[in-house]
Amino acid sequence: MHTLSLQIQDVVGENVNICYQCEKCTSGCPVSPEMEFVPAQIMHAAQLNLKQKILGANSIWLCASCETCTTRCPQGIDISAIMDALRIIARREKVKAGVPSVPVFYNLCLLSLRFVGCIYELGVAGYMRFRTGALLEDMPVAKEFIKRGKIKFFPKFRNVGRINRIISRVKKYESI
Amino acid sequence: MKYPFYPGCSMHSSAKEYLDSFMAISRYFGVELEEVEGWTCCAPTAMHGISPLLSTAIPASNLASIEETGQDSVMVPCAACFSRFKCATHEIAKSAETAAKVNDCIAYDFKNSVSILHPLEIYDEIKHELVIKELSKVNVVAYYGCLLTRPPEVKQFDDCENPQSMDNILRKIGLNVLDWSFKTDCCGATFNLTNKALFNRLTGKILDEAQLAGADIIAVACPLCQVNLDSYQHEMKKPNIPVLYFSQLIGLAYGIDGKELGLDRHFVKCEEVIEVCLKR
Repeated sequence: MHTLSLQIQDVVGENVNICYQCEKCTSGCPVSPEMEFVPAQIMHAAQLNLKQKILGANSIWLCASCETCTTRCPQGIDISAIMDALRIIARREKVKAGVPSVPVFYNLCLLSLRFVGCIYELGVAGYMRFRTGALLEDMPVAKEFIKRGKIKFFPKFRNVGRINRIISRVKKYESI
Repeated sequence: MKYPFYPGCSMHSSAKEYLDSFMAISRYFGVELEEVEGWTCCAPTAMHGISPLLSTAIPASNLASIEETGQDSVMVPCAACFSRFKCATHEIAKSAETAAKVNDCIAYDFKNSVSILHPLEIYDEIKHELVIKELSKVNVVAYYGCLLTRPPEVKQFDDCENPQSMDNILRKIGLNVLDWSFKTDCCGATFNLTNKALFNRLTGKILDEAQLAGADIIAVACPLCQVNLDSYQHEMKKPNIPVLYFSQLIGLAYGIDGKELGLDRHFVKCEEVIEVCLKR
């Protein structure tokens, strides 16, 4: 049975055990006020193998990947990569996400990558609005985007074949 | 000088004015840009939360197609794409195991020989004699966002806590560049689509601080930051500060027409402040 810290090491090669709780990550984190467990607590919980506690928390899905924590960590821990690892582990182990809209967004981006070869902004944004029940209230802004030529109605397909060839090879090493 | 150029998804849609203004000023700099043939998405933020290898292999496949043509650099104006490319080359250089996996996934022996350039690095050598019309001393804050500078050992770009590259450019074209402490704070990223309350707090904070600093214009270098800061000011009942790409401001100083720079594409109207900029 693997501990969470070993699992993290396996996914992103980072060592949570060298964290000594200085909390620089937490003071710089722009979303820590909304987090159930702030970054320093996530690190501590990972050391203590409190897996279910952190995989189900909103924290791992609220992380904006701004990398302020990674930049400032005196121990050189890539905390942002650890957040990625926790999202990947939660996804693999089908843990119910603390912020359900974020994994939906991730899957949508992957879908867009697979079928269009780039991010089809109107499709991704439109579906997310629909999903979060904000489709109607956001219509005026959407209309302005289209009027200004800032969003394309139809996507331009880009080398979908190459993307899918890469995805199928990546699957040899990592589950997607 | 000629560079291969990787626009990424947003410069052909939501950041069309970044593309237009960047192309226009490049002509002035004598920089010839050639769009990379057959490019695909850079596999941005969401993807490294799904598969680290995929988010390295896809940028690498784009770089490989440049390497194959014998070129050794690429211009990447989108901060998100710039970030993914830099991260991928860093990961590949750091680990032979990752490099081998990537080579297998992209079916190419990638030499990691392409350097990733952001226009802020190239166009900082603005020659004063090129400025046709120095802009007046309008107050501007430079906003860099997360992806250009962090983490510093990967991006190798400017000071990660107090970057100066955009500040210097804006100062050279005559603007009054204000110091402020939110240069590299998060703009709200994709929370616009997943968590509106959080988005409003993060984006609102940047706008409030820019206003507090006394800014008449927020200058940006990232398509996502521009859309986030510009498009929802009305909805958030914020003070309507125009959010312009640094390339649009350079373009104005070179006497390029506002329409060609896409100034009419923004949500917050900027005609008035531009008129003041040009009055000197």
